[in-house]
Amino acid sequence: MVKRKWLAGLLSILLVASLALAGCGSTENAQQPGNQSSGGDAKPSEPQVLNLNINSEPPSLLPTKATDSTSGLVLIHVMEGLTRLGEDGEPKPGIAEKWDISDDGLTYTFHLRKDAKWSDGQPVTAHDFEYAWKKLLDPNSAADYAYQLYYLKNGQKYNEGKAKADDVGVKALDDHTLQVTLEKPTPYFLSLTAFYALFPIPKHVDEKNPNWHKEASTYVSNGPFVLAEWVHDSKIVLKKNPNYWAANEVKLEQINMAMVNDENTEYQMFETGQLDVASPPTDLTKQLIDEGKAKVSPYFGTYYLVFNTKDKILSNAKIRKALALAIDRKLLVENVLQGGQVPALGFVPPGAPGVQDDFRKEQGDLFKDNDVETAKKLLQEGLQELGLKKLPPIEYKFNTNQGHQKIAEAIQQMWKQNLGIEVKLSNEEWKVYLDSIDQGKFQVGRMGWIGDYIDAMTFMDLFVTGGGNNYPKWSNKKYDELIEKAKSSNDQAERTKAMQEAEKILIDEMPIVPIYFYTRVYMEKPYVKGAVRNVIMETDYSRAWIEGKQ
Amino acid sequence: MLRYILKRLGWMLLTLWVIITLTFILMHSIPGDPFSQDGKKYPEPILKNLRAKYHLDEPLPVQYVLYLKNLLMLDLGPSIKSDTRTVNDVIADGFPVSFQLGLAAVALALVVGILLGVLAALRHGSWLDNAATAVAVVGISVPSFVMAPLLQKYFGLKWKLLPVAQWGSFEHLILPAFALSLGPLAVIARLTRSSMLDVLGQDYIRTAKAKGLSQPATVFRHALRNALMPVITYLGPLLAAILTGTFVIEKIFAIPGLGKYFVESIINRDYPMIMGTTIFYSAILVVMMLLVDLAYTLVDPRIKLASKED
Repeated sequence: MVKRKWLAGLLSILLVASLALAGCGSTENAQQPGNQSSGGDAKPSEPQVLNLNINSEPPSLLPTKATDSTSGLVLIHVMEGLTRLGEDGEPKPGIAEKWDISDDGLTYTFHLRKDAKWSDGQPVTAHDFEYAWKKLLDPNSAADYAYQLYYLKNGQKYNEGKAKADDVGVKALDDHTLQVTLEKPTPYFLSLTAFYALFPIPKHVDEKNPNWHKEASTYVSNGPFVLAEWVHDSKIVLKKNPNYWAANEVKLEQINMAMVNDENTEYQMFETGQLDVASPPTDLTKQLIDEGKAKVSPYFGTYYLVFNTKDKILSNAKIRKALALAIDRKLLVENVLQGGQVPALGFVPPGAPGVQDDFRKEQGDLFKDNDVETAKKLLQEGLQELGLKKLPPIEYKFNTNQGHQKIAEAIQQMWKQNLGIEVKLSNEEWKVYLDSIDQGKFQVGRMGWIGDYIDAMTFMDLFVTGGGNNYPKWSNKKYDELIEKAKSSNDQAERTKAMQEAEKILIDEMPIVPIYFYTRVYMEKPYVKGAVRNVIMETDYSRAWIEGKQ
Repeated sequence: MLRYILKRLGWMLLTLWVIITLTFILMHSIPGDPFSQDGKKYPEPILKNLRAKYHLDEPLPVQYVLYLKNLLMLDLGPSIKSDTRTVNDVIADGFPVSFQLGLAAVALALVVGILLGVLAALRHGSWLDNAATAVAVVGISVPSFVMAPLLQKYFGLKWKLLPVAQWGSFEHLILPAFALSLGPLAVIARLTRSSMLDVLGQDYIRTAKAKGLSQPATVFRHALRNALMPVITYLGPLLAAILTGTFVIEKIFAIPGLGKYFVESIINRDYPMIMGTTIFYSAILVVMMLLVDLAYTLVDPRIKLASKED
C-alpha cells in the first residue's frame, strides 16, 4: 500500500541556479579629500551610518584564515596591519608608525605605535604580529595564504615542516619593535603588510579561546571599527572603535553590512535607500554608466585566453600569434562587455609601479589590436611550418557562465570572419573546467588573473617553467632567467626592466592572449564622502563620512 | 501499527545509508577539489597541508569509514569553505528560517489551493472554474524567479508597502512566502479540482444528497476527504523540498536559510557540506513519506497500514 514517489532530482534543481553566480564584484569609488581634516566640523550633525552590501557571509574573520574579498572587506575595517594602502596603492603607516629597511633590502625593522590598542584595551604589540605570522605559516593551521609569507626567511621551509618556528624571519625585539628578515629582497613587501592575511592576532585572546573570531561577542579587533553584531548569513554591524589609535579621524559611527547576493535585489535596495553603495545589475550596467549613475574604477586584473602549447597545432607560435591578432578587443569591450573595461595589449594591467612611472605606461602597447593583415600572413606561415593546407577546427573551452559565453561567441565570430577558422565552443562547470585546463585537456581556454599585491611580479611569475598556474605549459629559458633576475634584485629600475623584457618575450610567443583589463563598476549615493579605492584592495570606508543626506 | 512504524524506520535507515554511500562515491568522482578558489592554484606545500587537515590525503575507504563514525555521533564535520561554522552549525542556523518560510508557503498553498479547487469543481464550467484555471496556469507557468522580482518591484519599490528583501519581521515573510507558494498552490488547486470532480460523480455522494444532506455537509464531510488523497501524496516530497529551503527565493530575498548551501556546497566542492545537506534533506524526505502514509489512514479509514502481513 506504500506509495513511493520519485526521489527528488536534487542536483538538477541546484545546477540550474548555479548560472546565477556570474556577476559578483564589489563596490568602488574615487574621491578623497586628502588625509587631513574635513574643514573644521569636528562632529557632523547628520547620523553617521553607512549601509553596505557584502553579498554573503564572510567565510572567516580570522586574518590567517580569510581568503576571499568578502572577509577582506570586513577585515580591513575591523583590523589594521603594519600599513594601510592609500588611494595610490602606496602603503601608509598603520599600526607601524615608521620603519627602516636595510640597504640590501633583506631586513625590515617596524616601529609600532605605542598608543595602538585592541578593542579590549590591551596594547597591540610586536608579539601579536610575530604570533600571527607564525600561525599563518604553521603547517597545522593549513592556511591558504601561507604562501604570502614565503618571502620570510625560512617561511616556506617552516610551512613545509622542514624548519622550526624559531627559524622563521620574524621576531619581536621588544613590545614595539618588529624585525623581519626576508629570503630575497622584495620591494613590494611593505604593501603586502597591508594585506589582511598579514594582520595581527590578539595573542592574549587567541591563546585562551581559539574560537574568539567566530562570534561578535568574543571578537577583539585593533582597527577603526569593532564587530558589534554578526548574524550569520544575514548581517554584520560595525561600530566605531574608541580604542583605535586614530579614532579622531574616524567619522562614521556605524557601518551596516547586508548579505544580499542577488544583483537585482541589491539594485532595488539601493533605489529604496536601504543601501548607500551597490554594484549595478549586469543588464543595466552600460545604461547606468552612460547616465553617470554608475562609476568605473580600475582593477588589478587581466582577462586572457590560454593556448595549450602541447597541442599539435597550437605549439606553433605563429598560429598562436595569428589568433591573438585577429581579435578586435575594442569592439569586444565596447559592444559585448560594456562595463568600461580596457583592451589589453600587454599582460600586466595598469597600476603597477615601473622604473619611474606606471609599468604599463612605460612599456606601452606590445601589439596592435585587430591586426588582421599580419594575422593572415602569420597564419599562412604557420600552416607552412606545420605542413598543413588548412587549419582544422579548434576547440574553445570556457567555464559555464553567460559572460564568458558572450566573449567566446564574439571571438569565435572574429576568428571565422578574419581567418576563416572553424571554432567549436564547449563549456564545463567551473571546477571541472579548472581540472581540465590544469591537466591540459583543452586547446584554447579562458582565464583571469587578479594580482595578489601591487607589483608586476604577481603577473609575470605566472609563466615560469613548471609554475603551478602556467596552464599553457609554456617554457622559455630566457623568460625564466629574466624573472629570476628580477626576483633577486633590489633595484627597482633593474627589476622592472627585466620584467618588461620578459613581458615582450611572453607577447612575442603568445602562449596566452591578453583580452582586457578588469574594472569595478559601482554606484554610490552622493552623500557618501571619502571612500578610498585603489586597484587592488576592497573599498576602504574607514575615513569616510556622510554629508548632505538630509 | 507500532510494528509497522518500527519496520518502516528500519527501512528508512537502510535507505539513508544507501543515499550516504552513493553521494559519497559520486561526490568524490566529480573532478575538481575544494581548494582552487579563483582559479589560482596554490603552491604544493599549501595544498598538502590543506589535504592533511581535512583528511583528504587518506584513501577513500578510510575517509568513508571516518565519516560514518562521526555521523553516528551526529557530527557532520567542518565546512571546508567556512572557517567559522561547522555543517551542524549551518543547518542549525539555516533550517529554522527555511522551515518558517516553507511552512508559511505550504499553509498558504494548501488553504487557497484547496479552496480554489473545491470551488472550481462545484461550479464546474462556470466563470469561477475558468478563473481558478487561469490562476493555476499562471502559478504553474510563471517561475518563482520571475514572480519574485515583480513582487519586489511593485510592493517594495513602487508602493513601498513591504520590504524589498532580508529577514526579521513578519513583513519580511509575506513576499517570499507568496512567491514560493504560487507553484504548489496551482498544483494543489488542479489536483483538488480533478479528484473532486471524480468523487462528486460517485454513488455515495448521490446517496448523501438523496438523504437530504446539505451541500456543505456533503462536500466537506464526504467528498473532500476522498478528494484530498492525491494532495496528500503530493504533500510529502513538497514539504521536504520546501521546508529545507529553496535556493532561488532565498537568494532573491536575501533570506538566511539553508537553500543556498545545497547549491554552493557543490560549486565549492565543500565535501562535508555536500554530505551534510544531502543527508539532512534525505532524512526529512523519508520522514515526510512516512507521515504521508500515516495520514492516509487518518483520511481514509479503509486503508490499513499493518493489514498486509508478509
